[in-house]
Amino acid sequence: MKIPIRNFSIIAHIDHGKSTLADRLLEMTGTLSKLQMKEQVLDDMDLERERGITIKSHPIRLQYKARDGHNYILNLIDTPGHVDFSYEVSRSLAACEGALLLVDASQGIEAQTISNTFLALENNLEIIPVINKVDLPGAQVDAAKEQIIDLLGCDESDILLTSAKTGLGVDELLEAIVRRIPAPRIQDDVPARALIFDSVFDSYRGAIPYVRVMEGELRPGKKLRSFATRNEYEITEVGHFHLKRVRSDVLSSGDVGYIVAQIKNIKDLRVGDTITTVDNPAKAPLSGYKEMKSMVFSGIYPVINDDYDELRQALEKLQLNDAALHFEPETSDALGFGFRCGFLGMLHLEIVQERLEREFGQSIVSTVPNVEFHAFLRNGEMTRVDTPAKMPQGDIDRIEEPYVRAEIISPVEFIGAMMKLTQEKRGIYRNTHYLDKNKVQLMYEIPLSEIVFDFYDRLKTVSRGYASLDYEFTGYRPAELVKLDILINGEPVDALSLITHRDDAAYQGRELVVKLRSLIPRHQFEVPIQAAVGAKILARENVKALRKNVTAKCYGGDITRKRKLLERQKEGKKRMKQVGAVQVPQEAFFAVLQIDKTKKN
Amino acid sequence: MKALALYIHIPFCRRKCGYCDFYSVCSEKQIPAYCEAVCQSLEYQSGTWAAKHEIRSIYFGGGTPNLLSAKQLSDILGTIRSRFILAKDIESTIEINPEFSHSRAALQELRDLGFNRLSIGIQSLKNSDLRLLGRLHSSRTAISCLKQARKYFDNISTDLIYAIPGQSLASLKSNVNRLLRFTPEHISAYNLSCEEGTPLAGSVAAGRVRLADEETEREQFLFLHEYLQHKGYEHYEISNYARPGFHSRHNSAYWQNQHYLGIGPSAHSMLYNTRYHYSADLKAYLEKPGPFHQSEPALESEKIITALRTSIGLDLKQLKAETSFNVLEYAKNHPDWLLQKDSRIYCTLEGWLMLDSILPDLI
Repeated sequence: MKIPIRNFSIIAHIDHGKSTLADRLLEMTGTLSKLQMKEQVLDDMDLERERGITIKSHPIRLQYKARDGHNYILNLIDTPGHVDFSYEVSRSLAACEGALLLVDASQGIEAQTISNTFLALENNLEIIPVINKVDLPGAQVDAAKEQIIDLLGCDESDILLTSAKTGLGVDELLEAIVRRIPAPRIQDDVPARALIFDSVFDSYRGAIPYVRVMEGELRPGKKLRSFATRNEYEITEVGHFHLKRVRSDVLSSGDVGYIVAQIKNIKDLRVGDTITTVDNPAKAPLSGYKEMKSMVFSGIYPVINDDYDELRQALEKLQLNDAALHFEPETSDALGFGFRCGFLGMLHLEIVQERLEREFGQSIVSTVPNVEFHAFLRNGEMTRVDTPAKMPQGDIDRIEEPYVRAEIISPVEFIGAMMKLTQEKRGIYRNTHYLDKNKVQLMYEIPLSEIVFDFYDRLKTVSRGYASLDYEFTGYRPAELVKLDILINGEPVDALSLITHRDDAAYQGRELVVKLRSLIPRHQFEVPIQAAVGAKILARENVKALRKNVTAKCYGGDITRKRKLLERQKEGKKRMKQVGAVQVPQEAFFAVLQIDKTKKN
Repeated sequence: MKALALYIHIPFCRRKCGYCDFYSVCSEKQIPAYCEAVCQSLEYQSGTWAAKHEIRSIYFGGGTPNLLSAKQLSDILGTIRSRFILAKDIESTIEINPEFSHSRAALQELRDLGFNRLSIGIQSLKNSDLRLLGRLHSSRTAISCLKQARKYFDNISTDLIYAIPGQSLASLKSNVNRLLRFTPEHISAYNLSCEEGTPLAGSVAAGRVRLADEETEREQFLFLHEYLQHKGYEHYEISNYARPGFHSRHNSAYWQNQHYLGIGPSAHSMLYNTRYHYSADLKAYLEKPGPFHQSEPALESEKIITALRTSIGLDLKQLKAETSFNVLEYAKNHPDWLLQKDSRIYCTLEGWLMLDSILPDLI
């Protein structure tokens, strides 16, 4: 007889103790000995451990002997906790029958937690509310209870209290998982359907999809087929997740496991896709598959042009285990050959940049991130503008920009600050909902472009870290947008252009040219720096010509010193980009990012 | 016999000038001990370098070399003569500050010691300039020094500083004209540079002194170039002018990548493509005046850096094929700055003015 299975996830806000709870579950079920434990054992990447966030879900199978005397298999599917990755979260949830809703006793419910809870409810998951960190001095257990009851409509007695750090209440939690979360439906003798909820890349074995088998069986030797791509692969190995992957004979309904099938690229079997077998195919896929859509775009260029191929290889490798990363070659007059990359959001962008530098040793310059605008010509044609360079010249009827429905959860005392912030960011107020007497949920519609820059940071600042944000793309709306160009020595520099709201253009242009004047070195000729919208010059600064540049004295010992100085200058020059006759240092391309912040502050 | 240039650093000053960042200290009581240490250095180094080398120039620089007594100078010179082989036509220079050697006797003494070239730190003949620079002499003393020097020396170099805060072109011109009455064989004309850590840099940062602007510097440089050439001087290095046949043999050794041996704290040597130096630390030097530190190999790029400062320029044959190709290529693309004649590349006047912008692309 099969050992009964429970499949569950943990829904939690960053820092609410999810990884610590996972560690404790591993330890208390005896899955890992104390010796094997290190903190956040399921977070693989250095980046995750450093930032204390989980980017990539990493499932694990726990063996638990419950008080009823039976053994259970508990499959824990860990989920990313950031708004950029909500699609991955939703697929992980779809692979489960239950979820723990983990709430920090001192923080209460956060926006991201609410939206993920709704995702879980949509997937008909049994939710076990857990208040964590109850042992900490700032714990406000009653307030947290009130919010949970309001959110789930559950009984107070359904809520468990834990301290993942000390292990308090974790034994009760394990029992609740076994008793309250439904067993998966077992149906092995029907055509197979398995949901891919994650995928990793192994340099020897190719892409390895992580699946939840909903119906039927998957065995080595069988051919699998993807519903989304119709690709077919022969299964060479299946297995379960212990601390490492462990091979087994079969994955059957209810199982969570992995498949090795010589899949070359992670893109060939994407998260959310349904797998069936070729010899006995299911008729329809499981519901819920979506193509992941890039929301934020940025150009990534090698600092040194010769490193282009190396950067491409790094991006390709990165894409092998990050299917959400899109890139295509792009040429910039200023920066040379590089890539236009699409990301799920700003965190995703930062992670990719950091991984390129850290794991692949690339020196990169990235251009100002932007969202995708739609430019409509008078003849009705629409152009997708994911880089300012693609903005059509003239004859534009209107430009539309993406809007999101933003949900902010904040302590009541910061309502004023939230309103002010959202107003600055061109937000449109929709409604307010009091979660309890201290916490409020505010709904806004805000241009995505305003969100992606520093909205989140500012939100945290003005609320002393208490407010949280979740957002969802809703659609495009017309906006008064213009392309702000920067001309250096009379030539527009594509990499410095930005699309901005008409009202901000003059201010931003002014700030930008002043900033650039201080960053661009003096040349043998005067270098004018201008900001323009179309033919209209909004601001101008000049970098004075360099008329004399020579060391007066150079004798004996000075020569070595002089040489070193010149070598440093040479290195500096190497890192500059030639724009026409002008050398522009890397920092200039970041200037745009810096002024965006100053405007807001 | 290999040619060798010998430099003796005298790191003492009565007072430090506000713009100067050469190594010197104001404790004259250590001079006797110092002279002994220099002799020890010379004895030590002669063990390695005296054989098969001929000293073609000696240069006492500082600091203020004429803070040393005739006896002290004579001791050092005596050690040099007894330990090294000296060329018959040796150029033997001592830098002097006018305030300590403007009498007839003092200058006669220097000649009698065997110096055949004087380098006089005139800097300016205008008292307000001298005060601003922190010099101890007056214009009168400088003139008197020149007058007496002329009697005993037929090879005189004078230092001039231009682009002094507040200095007009007319004032510079008057300086030059008064100087030219003494027909110095050599003029070093330095653009005042503001070195980090000097009192001048402090004054500039505090807003007490405003440096000349770039246009003024350029104008004065160009004036000197034209005017001194007109008066029969060759502009043979960015900051150096000489009557034909009077180029500084010693300094040319630096610019033309020849062997030089430097004695004293902060003095540098370049011997057989290796650099050595004594630390800029008088106390350490007095304790251990013998061996110097090896710094690092001299690099090809240093040849480029120094040679392009001179009017005869850079000999491409002295460079590796690849370097030489790159320099030539760059020169072709920048005819305003660099010219080619046979195997040599040299700077145009505009190239000299912009040399520090050119060099990063050549090294």
